[in-house]
Amino acid sequence: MATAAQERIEPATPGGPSRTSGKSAGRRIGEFVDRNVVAVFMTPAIIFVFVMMIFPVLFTLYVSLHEWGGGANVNPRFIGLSNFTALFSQDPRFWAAFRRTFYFTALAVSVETVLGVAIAVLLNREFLGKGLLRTVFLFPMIATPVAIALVWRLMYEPSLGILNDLLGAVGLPMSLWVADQSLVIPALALVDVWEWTPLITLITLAGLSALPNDPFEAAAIDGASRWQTFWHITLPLLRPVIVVAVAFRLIDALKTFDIIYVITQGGPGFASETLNIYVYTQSFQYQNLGYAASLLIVFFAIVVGSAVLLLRFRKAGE
Amino acid sequence: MRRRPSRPALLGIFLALLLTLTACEQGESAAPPAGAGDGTDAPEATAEAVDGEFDWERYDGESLRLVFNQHPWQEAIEPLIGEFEELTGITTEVESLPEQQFRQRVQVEMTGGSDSLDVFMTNIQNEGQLFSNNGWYTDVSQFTQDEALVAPEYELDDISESVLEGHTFGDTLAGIPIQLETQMLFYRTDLFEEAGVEVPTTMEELEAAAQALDDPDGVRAFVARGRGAAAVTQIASYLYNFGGQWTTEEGDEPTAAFDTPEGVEAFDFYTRMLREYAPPGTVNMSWEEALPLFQQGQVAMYTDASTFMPNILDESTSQVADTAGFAKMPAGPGGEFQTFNGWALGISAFTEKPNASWYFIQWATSPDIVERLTAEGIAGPRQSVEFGEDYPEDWVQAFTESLGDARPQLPRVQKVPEVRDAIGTAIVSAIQGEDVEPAVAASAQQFNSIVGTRGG
Amino acid sequence: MATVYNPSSSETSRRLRSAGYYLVIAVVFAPFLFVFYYMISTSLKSPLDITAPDFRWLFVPTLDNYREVFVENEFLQFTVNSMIVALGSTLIGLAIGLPAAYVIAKYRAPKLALLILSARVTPGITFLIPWFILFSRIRMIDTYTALILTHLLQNLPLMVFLMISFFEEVPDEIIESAKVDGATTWRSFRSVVMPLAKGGIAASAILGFIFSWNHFMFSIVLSGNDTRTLPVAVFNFMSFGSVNWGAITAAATIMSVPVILLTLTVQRHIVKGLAIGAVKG
Repeated sequence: MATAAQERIEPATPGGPSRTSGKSAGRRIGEFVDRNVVAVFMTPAIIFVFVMMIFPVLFTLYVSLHEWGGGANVNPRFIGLSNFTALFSQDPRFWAAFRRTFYFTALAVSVETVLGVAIAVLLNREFLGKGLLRTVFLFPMIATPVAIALVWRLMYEPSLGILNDLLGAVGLPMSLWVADQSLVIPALALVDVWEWTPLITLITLAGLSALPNDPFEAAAIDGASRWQTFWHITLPLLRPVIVVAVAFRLIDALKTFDIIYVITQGGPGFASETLNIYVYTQSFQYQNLGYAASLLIVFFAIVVGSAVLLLRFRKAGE
Repeated sequence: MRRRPSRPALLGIFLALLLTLTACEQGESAAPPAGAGDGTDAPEATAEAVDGEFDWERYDGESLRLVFNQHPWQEAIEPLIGEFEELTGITTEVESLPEQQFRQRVQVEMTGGSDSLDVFMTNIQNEGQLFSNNGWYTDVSQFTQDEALVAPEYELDDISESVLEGHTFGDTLAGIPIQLETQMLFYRTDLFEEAGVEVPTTMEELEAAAQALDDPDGVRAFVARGRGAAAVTQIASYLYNFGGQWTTEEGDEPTAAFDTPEGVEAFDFYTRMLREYAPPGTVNMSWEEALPLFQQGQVAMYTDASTFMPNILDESTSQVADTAGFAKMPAGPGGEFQTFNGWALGISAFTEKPNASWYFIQWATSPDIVERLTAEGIAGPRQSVEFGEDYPEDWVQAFTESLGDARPQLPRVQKVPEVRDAIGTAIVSAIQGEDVEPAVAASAQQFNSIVGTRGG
Repeated sequence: MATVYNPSSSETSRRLRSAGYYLVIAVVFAPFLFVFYYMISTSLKSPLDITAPDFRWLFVPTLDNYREVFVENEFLQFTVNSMIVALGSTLIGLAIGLPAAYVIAKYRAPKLALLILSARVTPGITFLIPWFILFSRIRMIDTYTALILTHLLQNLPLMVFLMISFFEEVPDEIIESAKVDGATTWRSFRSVVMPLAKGGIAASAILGFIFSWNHFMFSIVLSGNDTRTLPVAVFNFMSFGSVNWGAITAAATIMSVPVILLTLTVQRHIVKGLAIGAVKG
């Protein structure tokens, strides 16, 4: 504030001594910031992220080459790459979790995408209560996942839950839902679909409202059917938007933890144990910290690899 | 009980960053590579030497943090802890968590070498070997042998020597037992009478009774734990009674022995009972889910820990309080073996208050407290304490007859939680109708690879 | 389009079609709303109504479950813990995230942006194990600081990402003219850019708050008796004794209410933020 006041008082004496030597400290800092704005504005965030990430990364790399149960008087024992070779060659649980992770992700994200885009197209016109519905559609994705997962756990409960009551009401046989080894992944994917379809819908809706009019007018003149218009014009135009939304969902679905941990904790048996749950179990239940670290590195590589692939895919599309 | 006041959060970027930076520095020097201990300097807490006579108030003013598993013992002891505080002047902070979170909490703090944890519940069969190999227990025998630290009325001899031996690893007495349980058959006397069924004494009779009692549209005949790892303690007596074993002890490392024809038969029997005579969804059931089914009168028979007797007889939560009966586990073609499990109280190796911690354990296992807990239905470790008149006769009979030469429920290996999961998969797949033999064989193979050479 | 001869019949068919449209929308939205209805209705049921073999649509509502949650648990303390952690990580997130997002948006710093966003892609569990060892070595397990710092690492990328979109919307000319008037970059950022992006800042702050409020995995390991947050506390309801679904759904409802109220206040900006984030990102 002082600098601003000063300047207002002093303009009458241009070239005076105050101009060269009388700069206040505040002014000088301001100029320093101006010259280095990127550095100054970014530094706090970068330092924070770097510090919070670099130690875990180094530590994980170190421990992954050791056998360590977290003991106080037992030091980590260096075993080279043994954890990794054991992981790839002797651990059927790892490969099963690996396949399951992708099964869950593919199932959840593909259903979310198709459903989400379909609902967006359905909603893409003016009607009474549209704003309200759009707000309501935010609820599944922002409600606390632990709360949502607990409610679904009750709904899936074979004797108490509502889903079997509904099946019974329409004369279908009862299902074990998440207690059934072959149904548990689809059942969990359904929870994810419930939670995240709205995200795809909202993003697609925004994309739809930003579309140019010309191609649609041209299509109408050519006498294209609604479906043809949608398939050949709307969808290609929406593609970049949908790809981004899907990319986000894919990365997050690979890392799904809350709903699986709360509903099944990886069970029955290992039937819903994804990589994230397996790493968690290896570290916090089995105390195999070295092995868990090697698993983490593989898991990390899978997630980052998928993200990079997606970005490539997106760039190729443009 | 005192709770630490919640400190206001330290906010502000500068402070936060500063904290992170120091955190990182200290962290890296504290990380294992930087010469944190070389195997010889175990951090294990040792008793502080004291002179003079025993005095309950010697540690007046100290404070302890106790971490408990949510369990009938914990429910019964918590209301009494005020008396300990009054007696000793030691204040306590108790944290009770559901079993899985409890284990995780203890392991997290131990791995971090946290000195804020003093006394914790520990299940020796489950984690004894791992914890003692990791040096996480303080040797309790150094206190029990020190007259200045043991009240004259304590009488350690009252706790069976073989039980204490079971809690000893090398020279370390890992803890003092607080609760013992055997596996039992709970059944509904009214339904048995109605159907004209006798209490089964063999596995064959158990299945026959199930057949006679089962009503697929109403009360089901049977329930037990089916959720993988949780079921492993419960299948043990079936395994033994069909003539099976968890492991053979040839060579250094135990190897799986439950995949013999006898073992496969036991797995087949247990899972068949759950598949054909139990309510749906047993693969997701531990005792938390199975016990209420019995309490609500939805099943006629239930095999689980003897320790649930008070829950079954509690009229406010149980509809079968008047009609429940208790029996030993039935014998099988391989003989009659009963199984036991139990909890102990241990002292963290990282505690800064070993003596005060010992005081708590001593108080909690003192004749007076054990007697009062026994009156609440908690079977304690002291041989001199009699079960009161409130105890159902058939329960007392089944319990005392079983305990004599009961076998441990879990295999004696270091990585118990992991092998429990491996064995559990066979139980789950078999309940869901997969072929038992290959499932058990696969579990046995996994078992061997876990206890064998694979890295950790 | 066929030529319409009868205006009144077209009116009827238009009405019918619009009624059909609303019906379709109702069918589509029903499952999304039903879960909330199920949560709230169960929380108002007595144990008898919950364990009844069939789902009871009609029941006498009771507040017993809520009473139990508040009386038998330190639910208020858990709520305060969640508040402190969420507020703390959101405020710090704003303080260090806004300037960063601004320069990324206006000065093109993609490499640095990538570093911040990489924290978003990396699975949280990668950090969790080292952190818990580190934090326990320096006795910071069960402190608000540890929770705030870890939640911040998850929140910061989200907030930065959202804010980039909002800052990009601020016209360059306005910033230029502030500069011409002699304002330093900091001043123009403070007094020109931030007020213009007010709505976006509110949306990022609230989303940051919500995601921290909801966060489970870090809290389950790093929180303890003094700092236990709501999701962990509610999850712990699950595991002991006969599962008390009434209390669990009551707790779940209480936990979700603040989040939903917050969303209502800034829903316009959240939708927009999500949308431009995706369209431009």
